[in-house]
This record gives sequence, C-alpha cells and structure tokens, in this order.
Amino acid sequence: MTFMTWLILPCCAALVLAYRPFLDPLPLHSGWMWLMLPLALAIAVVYKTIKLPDLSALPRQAATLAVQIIVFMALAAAAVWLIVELA
Amino acid sequence: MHAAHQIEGRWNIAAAVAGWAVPGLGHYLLGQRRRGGILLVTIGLLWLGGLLLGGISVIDHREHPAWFLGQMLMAPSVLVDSFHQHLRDHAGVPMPHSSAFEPSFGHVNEQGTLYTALAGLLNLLAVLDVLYREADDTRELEPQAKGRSG
Repeated sequence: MTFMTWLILPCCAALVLAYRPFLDPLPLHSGWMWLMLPLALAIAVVYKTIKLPDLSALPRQAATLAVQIIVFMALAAAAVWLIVELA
Repeated sequence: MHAAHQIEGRWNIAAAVAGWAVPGLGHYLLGQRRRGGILLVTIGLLWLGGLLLGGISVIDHREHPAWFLGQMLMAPSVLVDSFHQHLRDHAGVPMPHSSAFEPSFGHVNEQGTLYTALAGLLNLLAVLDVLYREADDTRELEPQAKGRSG
C-alpha cells in the first residue's frame, strides 16, 4: 500500500464509525439515477405477487415487467429530453 | 334459484388492518403464506432502503404532508414519524445544528422519500387485495391454480 492509502484509511474508518444508520443519510450524491432499478423491480415483484395465481412464474414475469418499466421510463425520458432540446 | 348462483365475496377487515400494520401479514392470515412472505420482504426492503438512504428525516408529516399520505399507508411509517418529531422537538437546538440526527437534502432526500412513499402505496395494493375477496378467487389454491397470468 502506498503512503497515501495509509493516510486515507484512518480517515475513512472515522467517517464510517461516525455514520449512524437510519439517523444519518447515506452520502449518495452521484449515481442516484441507478436507484431507479430496485424501485422498478420492487413495483414489478409486488404487482405480480398480487396478480399471479401461480407464484412459480413470479421470477420470470416480475423480471419482464421490471425491464418493461425501465425501458419505457428511459424512452419517456428521452422523449421529454428531445422536446426540451428542440423547443 | 337465482340467488343460489350468485357469487358472494367476503370482506376481510381484520386481515386488511394486519396488512397495514405489517406488509404481507394480511395474506399470511388468509393462508397465503408464500405470497405474504414475498410481500413482506419486498415492501419491507423498499421501505428500509428509503430510510437507510435518507435517514428518518424522509418521513416528516410537518414538512412533507403530501408525501406522508403515501408513507402512512404502512403503519411503521407513523411510528418513525412520531420518533422523528420527538427527536426534533427535544433536540434543544435548531435542527440543522442538532446531533440527534442529520437531516438529508437533495437527491438523497428525494430518493428516500420516494422509496418510503412507494412502499406505502404498494402496501395499499396489498391491503386492498386482502380487504375484499371474490368467492371464486383462484389464488386461494396457489399450487393448483393455473391459467391466469396477471
């Protein structure tokens, strides 16, 4: 390990120790758009859990619905972006 | 004669209240244990994820009453809100300077609020599903049920 790593490690440890789960927010200020993926997956799983008569098909059906949600949200975002850019 | 052919549904008010208190508990009480378990894990993780992201400040009926309408569709959100308000009222100093908890801002707060509100709205779907059941609901027979594909 380099000198800088040895210097940074105690600081990181101190930050982790200072963090109190559920009382302090997570420092996720970049990449927050990726949080859409578990959101879409949860919607798909709950919807299909309620609707399907046979839960053996749940993984495949929920995955399909989650992909559909993500694709259509991406298409809607692209369409809105185009409207904003062209207008 | 006509009445004999009528399909009567049934109301499950106690199961619906249980489902509001703990996601999936309503389904569990109606005998759909696997379905209830999946709902508990999915909705529970979504709600806990939101709280982990933004901290307890994402559930706040004073600052975000409209979001709280969605969040309160899951009973644990009401408890977290009362705990949050208790910490805020007894902090002694104005909130941003208190060490009781750290309020979240920006995208982290938005995502945490969205996760917890969506967990509440998904729980509403689950509660409505158990509240009224048609007599010929095929989902009662989970292993044998066939045909319907949601």
